[in-house]
Amino acid sequence: MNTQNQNNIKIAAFVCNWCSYAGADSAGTSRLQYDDSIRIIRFPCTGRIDPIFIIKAFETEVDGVLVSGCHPGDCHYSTGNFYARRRFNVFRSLMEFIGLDLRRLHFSWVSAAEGAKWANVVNKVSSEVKSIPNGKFKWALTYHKKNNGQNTEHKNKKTELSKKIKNLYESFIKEYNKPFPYEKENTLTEQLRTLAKNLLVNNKVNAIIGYKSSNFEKLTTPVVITNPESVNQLVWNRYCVNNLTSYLTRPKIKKLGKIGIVVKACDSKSIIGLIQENQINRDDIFIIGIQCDGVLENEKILEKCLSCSNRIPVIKNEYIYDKEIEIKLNVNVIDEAIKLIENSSIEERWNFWQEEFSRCIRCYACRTVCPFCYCETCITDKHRPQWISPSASPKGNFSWNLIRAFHLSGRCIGCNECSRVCPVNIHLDILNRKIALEIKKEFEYEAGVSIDVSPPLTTYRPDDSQEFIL
Amino acid sequence: MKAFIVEEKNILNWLSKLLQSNIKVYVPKNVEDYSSYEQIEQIEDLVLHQKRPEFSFKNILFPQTESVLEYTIEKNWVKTNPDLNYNSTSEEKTIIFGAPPCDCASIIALNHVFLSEPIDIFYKSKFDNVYIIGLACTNPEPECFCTSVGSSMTSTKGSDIFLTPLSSKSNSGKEYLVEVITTKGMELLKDYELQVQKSNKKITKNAIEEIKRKHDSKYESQILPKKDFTQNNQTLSENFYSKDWEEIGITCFGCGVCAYVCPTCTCYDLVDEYESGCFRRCKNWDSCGFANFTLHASGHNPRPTQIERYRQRILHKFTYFTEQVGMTMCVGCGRCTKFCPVHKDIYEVRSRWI
Ligand code: SF4
Ligand code: SF4
Ligand code: SF4
Ligand code: SF4
Repeated sequence: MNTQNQNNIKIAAFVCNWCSYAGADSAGTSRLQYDDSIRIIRFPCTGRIDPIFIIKAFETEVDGVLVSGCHPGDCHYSTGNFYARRRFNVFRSLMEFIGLDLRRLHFSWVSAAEGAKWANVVNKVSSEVKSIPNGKFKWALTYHKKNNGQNTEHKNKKTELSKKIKNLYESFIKEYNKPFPYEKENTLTEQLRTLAKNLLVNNKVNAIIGYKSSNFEKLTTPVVITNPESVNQLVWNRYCVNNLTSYLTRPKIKKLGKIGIVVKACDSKSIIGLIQENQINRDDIFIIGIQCDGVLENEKILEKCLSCSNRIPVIKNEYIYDKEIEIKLNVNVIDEAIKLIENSSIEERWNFWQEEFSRCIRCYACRTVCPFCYCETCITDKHRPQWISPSASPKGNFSWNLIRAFHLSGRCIGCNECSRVCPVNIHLDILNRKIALEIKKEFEYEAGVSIDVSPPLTTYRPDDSQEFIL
Repeated sequence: MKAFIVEEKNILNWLSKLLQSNIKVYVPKNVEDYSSYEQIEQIEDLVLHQKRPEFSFKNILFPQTESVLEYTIEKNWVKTNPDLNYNSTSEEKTIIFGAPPCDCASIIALNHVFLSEPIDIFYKSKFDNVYIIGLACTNPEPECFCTSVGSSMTSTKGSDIFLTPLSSKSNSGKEYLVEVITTKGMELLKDYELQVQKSNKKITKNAIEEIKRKHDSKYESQILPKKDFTQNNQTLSENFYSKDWEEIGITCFGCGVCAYVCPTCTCYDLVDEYESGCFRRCKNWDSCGFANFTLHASGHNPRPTQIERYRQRILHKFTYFTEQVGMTMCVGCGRCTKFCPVHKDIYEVRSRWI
């Protein structure tokens, strides 16, 4: 492998107007010499710098990115850089996880007076970028003349890592996919119907969102019931996989007024998140928690159920259960997979995720089933400017999946609906879980636990970790 | 056009010949995380009688994303890329081998959309070079309902050549009934000779029908019960304002899975993209389920919720298209049911109004 052509690298520097831009200016007026690979882009504040900018920069073939702003406490808008610090901490670990060489991504605090520090930082960043022996950096590029514009470099090229992960999942499911122990579904269904009828008849709610059986024995489908006569459509069984809370933010459902909703323990966490984010009113929903001993799809227990330790909904108005003791396995295959990935080399990680994302068909099923993807216009649908290429190409897919994962950071409650519905089985569960773990480690926060704590990226602490910042 | 009985090993020999002669061959294949039509290099990679792949071969004729125009801006002038020239000689000869009848039939719907005026040259350049060899279905999925949309496990619609395995005849290995349906199929056999059973006399029409009837009856019970979705399409439009649509559509989440796995969905979007100094205009799959699909620049959306969007999907497939073309724009493959995040069942919905 040849070393990077030293004269040919480009580094994008996103700097805040008030400190680092002025710092760069001061380096200039002091006639300090520094590496000329840097291209400065000025922002009002590091708080304005969205990770999509960094991704976009890499897409346009820069070799490295530097983000620089005011020292903590010096922010012109008082706290912008505190928020930025948390955001970049998470983003950086995400990028490390998907196999970006962190020598390409740097953060620094440079004040208006620190011209010399600016010159040092730039020299350090460019020498790090130049020390990467991989030749010219190649982000996930799409363009490929021979193949109809498609770059199929990673398509269907399974890596060793993905084989290992596949085996890991299979072995877990094999080991724990014991015959389903719970036989009390009918009595729970009866209880559910009685409660639903009461609620509707007494006008406590205007509609109930639950599950009903379908043409297929092993599938249920969501149903919205407004007529008390129809409560017998409701069922509860081991095939009730959907997280119904995603409906709560739909305009059509909101219009119905007060809603009763059937939730499993895992789904109930998303209600906490939706209340935190002011998407729903606690008083407008009647939460019917229901005892769950795991759910099945294609006769396989879902991974999340293996690690479900508290099977009682965290928030509820009623809880339907009987006295049976459930089994709690508490084994987490996703965490094992994360360890596998973290113990692999940068290249293995990069190739693994490139192959995963190369399959994406941009159907957006992951987005539509997610309780937290309630934005009216998703960033991937924006085309003025076009932030994310909408073509199902390596470039667009890569940005799409990274940005979606990032937008869910600190919010995802791990219902794994996104990875369940993905038609090409991309490991979105691993990506989301990795960020959740990182957030837990850095900010001691877990999504979907308490309404009273602010989500981690909407708040900060002055003493948040900043070891990664130059 | 023509029919004869051929041994399996001779079909495979014939296919090997094609493989060796610069023809791309796609077959249903499992690629770990999903199954689709994948290119094979050698006959050993072929596995016959697979389940119907999770993705149809639509992608080969109508790629999910396709560059239809490329240009650069040089000295304040736009320069288009002349290499991007779509005509029947610009594409390689391609064979799709072993496709189930539902996928083959989808060709008729695709052709109607892309080959009627104004002709879509991007599709045509590929279609002219694609040969479809269908294989009677022996592995239906529970969601399938091809018999309800006027097709069957042995329907030859859309195929250039169609193969039906013969039951019994244990002594001399497996045999197939080979039907040549189109002139394209004829050409293929002329260029690459297929060794036919010598012992066989001319096979009669009745015998062919008998073979197919036998085959169909063997598998019919494995799929959803036969109903007639090809008739009475006006009942659907008469129920345009039915309350049922509300009940059906309110749980639709509005993703694009159903349209993207559907072999007959043809909607696309055009977007401009920029990369490495070059602009590309891409023709990308789109879906009527997306909120953006009918969103006007003014902000008005004539199909404001999933209720109208889902109704549109069903009515397009079973009413509008049928009125224009005389076939449903659904081949009963059941993929949309299988992949729907909320398990919405197109067969159940269509059955409400027959
Ligand atoms: S994660 Fe827990 S509550 Fe959720 S479906 Fe599985 S077992 Fe039930
Ligand atoms: S569900 Fe899967 S294929 Fe569809 S957009 Fe999401 S990641 Fe891509
Ligand atoms: S697991 Fe997926 S669907 Fe569930 S909250 Fe997280 S991102 Fe959304
Ligand atoms: S509408 Fe559904 S069942 Fe019909 S062809 Fe399309 S994917 Fe198959």
